[in-house]
Amino acid sequence: MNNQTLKQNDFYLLVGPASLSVQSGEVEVIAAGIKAGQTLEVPSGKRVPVKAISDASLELKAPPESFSKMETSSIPEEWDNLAGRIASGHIMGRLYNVMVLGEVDTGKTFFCTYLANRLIEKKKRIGVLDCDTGQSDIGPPGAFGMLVMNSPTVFLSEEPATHLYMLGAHSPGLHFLPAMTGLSYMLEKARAGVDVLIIDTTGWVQGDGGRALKKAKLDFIKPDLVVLMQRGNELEHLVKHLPSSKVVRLPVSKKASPTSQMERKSLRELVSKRYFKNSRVFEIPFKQIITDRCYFLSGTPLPLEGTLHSERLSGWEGTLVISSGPLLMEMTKGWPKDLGRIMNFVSGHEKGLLIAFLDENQDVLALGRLEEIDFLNNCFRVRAPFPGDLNSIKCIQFGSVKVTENGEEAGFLEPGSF
Amino acid sequence: MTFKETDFPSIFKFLKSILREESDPVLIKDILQQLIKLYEDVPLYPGITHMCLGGITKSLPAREVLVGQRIYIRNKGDCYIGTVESKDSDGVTLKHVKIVTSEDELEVGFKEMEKVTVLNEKILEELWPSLVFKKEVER
Repeated sequence: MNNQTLKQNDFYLLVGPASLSVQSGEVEVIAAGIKAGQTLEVPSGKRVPVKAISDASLELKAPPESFSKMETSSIPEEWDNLAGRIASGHIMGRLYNVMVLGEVDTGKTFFCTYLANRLIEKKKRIGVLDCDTGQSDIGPPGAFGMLVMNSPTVFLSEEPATHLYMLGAHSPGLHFLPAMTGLSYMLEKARAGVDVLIIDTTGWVQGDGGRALKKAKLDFIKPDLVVLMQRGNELEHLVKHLPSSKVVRLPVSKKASPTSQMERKSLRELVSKRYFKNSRVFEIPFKQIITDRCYFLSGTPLPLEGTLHSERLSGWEGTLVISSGPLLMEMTKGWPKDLGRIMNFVSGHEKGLLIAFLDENQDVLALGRLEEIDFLNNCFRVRAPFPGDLNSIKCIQFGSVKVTENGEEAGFLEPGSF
Repeated sequence: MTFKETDFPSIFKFLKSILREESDPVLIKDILQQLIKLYEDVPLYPGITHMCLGGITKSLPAREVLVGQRIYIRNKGDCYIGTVESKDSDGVTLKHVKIVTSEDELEVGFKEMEKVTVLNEKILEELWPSLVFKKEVER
């Protein structure tokens, strides 16, 4: 523990893990004021600039080298100018969309947080939509999260998401449609509750998939402003169709440091573990719910000898057969000949699948982990941090990634498996 | 034209290159098995599967093979596949060997034919004739 005295307009960099308590005066961290008596916890792997709004004394729980003085602010003045431009450009009663684009590790989330905090100062109702399901700051990995902010915050990840939408994967690849429907869902929520929506996107901006998805999102959102956070001109191909008045180019801070694949995985798991921390196991009877993004329980029951579950699907889709092991020729000999294509799923492979509980409005109540589909008792067994009324669960939506009981990553299930 | 929404086509391009470059049917089968394993491990990311495919095989100087390695040897029209049991200055001894040879002519008795398969190259025409198009002559 050490004490620090700051003069007004001093700038420092604080590297986590660290705890900063303001004893007197006021400091600002990512445009969020921290007054005397308040404490900020900086998690491991995070680093934040600290600006003294007035002379201030701080108590730090961190190694001395974690707190270093900077010559000037690391926040460019144009970020503040941009906040002013957005605030003055917003028309009451109409949602103002800001879409932030950038490759991975360009500081998009940091910028979104700063911008949101500055706009809150200007008495705007702010929503931040996190579409980066592989590096989620709002909500757990695998889901879009929106935070409707009531007050400035330093780390978006410290606040519970106001709205969630499950993508079901850590990348929109093979999940383009849920990515677009999720965006539509979140825009509807934003129109109902905020003045300015800041949309934080994935770093997938190149190649067929990156170009296709980003252009589709730009077409769909029709943003009032697109912020490009680029090192050179790597994003220009995405905005050629937009008038220059709608595009703002910001250079990437030299302090934006690259994170390795394994670091990104660790950060995802940290968020996921925290989300699943207070989970418990629920039993949800088949008859209580409908299923979404799967074939299971969407057809007509058709008991077949030797199976755990079978049902006739729609038209040419054939028959879904769930068995305790791979189907053998002898098992199928006595079955009707008009089953069409047999879609066989071996029970047990669903264990660990990410799912979402939805209510009657198809709003996400919580994300969970499928423990098992219990064919003996005709119920789903799901682990989830859901404190609400079980009867409000009307639908179970299936994702494609798997997690352990603790929220660690545990592989995938091929989309369309059951 | 638009953009591809999946990287699966790149896997087909890889398969095409393997068929063009490899004449050892056992090696091709083993590469396919590795491809399927990769896909089953990461079914959400065909692009990553494709990225890994380039590293599935590597050619190395004959004298650098190690005891215990399964190797695929091509010599003119013949292929030998096996695990290196021992190695000396002249060459290696393989075990669990499969040999694929080329012959201009071969007589085979029906009794020696456990299973016979022929290819149907007109399957698209049979199942989905509306998708069979006349090739436009390139100028």
